Amino acid sequence: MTGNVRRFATGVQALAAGTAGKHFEVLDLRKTVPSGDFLLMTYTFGSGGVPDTTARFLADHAAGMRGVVSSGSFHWGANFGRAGDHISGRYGVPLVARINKGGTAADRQTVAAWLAESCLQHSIRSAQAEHPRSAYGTLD
Amino acid sequence: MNFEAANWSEPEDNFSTTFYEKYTSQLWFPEEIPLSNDALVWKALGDEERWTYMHASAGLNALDTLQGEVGMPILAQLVGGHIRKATLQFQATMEIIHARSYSLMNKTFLTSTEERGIFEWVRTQPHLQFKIGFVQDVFNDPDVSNLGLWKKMVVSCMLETALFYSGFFYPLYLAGQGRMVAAGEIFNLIILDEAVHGVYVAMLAQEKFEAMDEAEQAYARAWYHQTLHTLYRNEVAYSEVLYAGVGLVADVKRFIRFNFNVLADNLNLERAFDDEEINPIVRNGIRTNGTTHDFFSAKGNSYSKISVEPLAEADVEALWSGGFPVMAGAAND
Repeated sequence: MTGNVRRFATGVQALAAGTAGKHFEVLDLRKTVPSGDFLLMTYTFGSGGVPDTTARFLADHAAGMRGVVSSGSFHWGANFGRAGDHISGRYGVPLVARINKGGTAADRQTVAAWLAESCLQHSIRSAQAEHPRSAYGTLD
Repeated sequence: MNFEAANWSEPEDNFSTTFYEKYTSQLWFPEEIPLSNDALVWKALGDEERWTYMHASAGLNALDTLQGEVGMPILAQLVGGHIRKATLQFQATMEIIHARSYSLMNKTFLTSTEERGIFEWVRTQPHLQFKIGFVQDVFNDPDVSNLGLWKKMVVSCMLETALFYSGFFYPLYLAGQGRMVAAGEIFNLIILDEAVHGVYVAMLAQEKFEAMDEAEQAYARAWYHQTLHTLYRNEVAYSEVLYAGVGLVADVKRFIRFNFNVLADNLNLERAFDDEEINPIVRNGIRTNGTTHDFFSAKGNSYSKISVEPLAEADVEALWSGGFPVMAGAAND
């Protein structure tokens, strides 16, 4: 909503391009559906809920999702970034990071490293070197 | 000009109704959380601990009174749109409930002489009065251009997201150790309210910021950084008064910097401080699983409001065949 997820996604994109020399696309899932594997980034709303727009997107397009990053607000204690736990549990993908608002430099490192690694594994397993795309959820 | 009714079927934006509904769903009253459970713990606290606790919360009372009485009514008046006005007015009501909660804490734990002493302290404490005066001047500034409105929204967000936290630190620090947990739950509820307020007003502020031209934006950014550092220095001095006796000044300053960064994220502006971790005991204070629940309306901080859905034919069939009805909204807490 406030642009934190978008900011974090572009920060990770810049970091991955700089250190690993990998290019990942950042897609706005309200407008574009990713064609290959992707990492979902979403905000959390309510008492740790999956935002409606993110849930609707996943109902149709979860197949390519390889991981999830959830942004939230530390004020919510146990419910902080809980959207990520729900999505991770429901679709069997790892929760790569849980970030407070726009995340820290350490969070960006974690996610960029995960993207670089999962990209490597992927091209080993299949000849088709489709990069995981980092994508962000709807509002935030 | 003809006066319109508020049409909730055609809201002026796609987020205000969501915030209004969020506010109403988390409405609570301090009378629902019996503070008397803390009375024995209160007596067992040291003099310095009691001093910090009460002055921290009385200072917060003044700031919530300022938001409820001055800030929110001014924003509600100047912002366009019936639904936005309604949401901001509801927010004002929540601030007034917060202010009353602090006053009820004073009443529960203090003698009336001590209580009067604390209100007099608030009225004359220089750092607190500086902070209030500064914010009040921005609220009352006659400039209602995009820049002027943006400034008013920014100082309101500063209160919600950063300037309250010198006061929040100590109750969270005690609750994180299992002390003063009933009052701690009230603080948790207040913090959850303020967290959402800070996001809503920041979204309105971002709109105003985007409506400015480049020169205005450059001026606005410079004003923001200057204001932030002025108020941060004042917070540091205030924290030294509040927390010297309990030896926590450095941790409080770190907590304030952390929250100023949250503010920057909400406003989509550059963070002013480096990444830091907050005190783990305070983090634990935020994680408390509420001790007082009103299960059916779910007003404690550990339950979300119960959602209901009508029973359908399919549920009965599922039961007959030995299964269990599937909840439509199961994925959504």
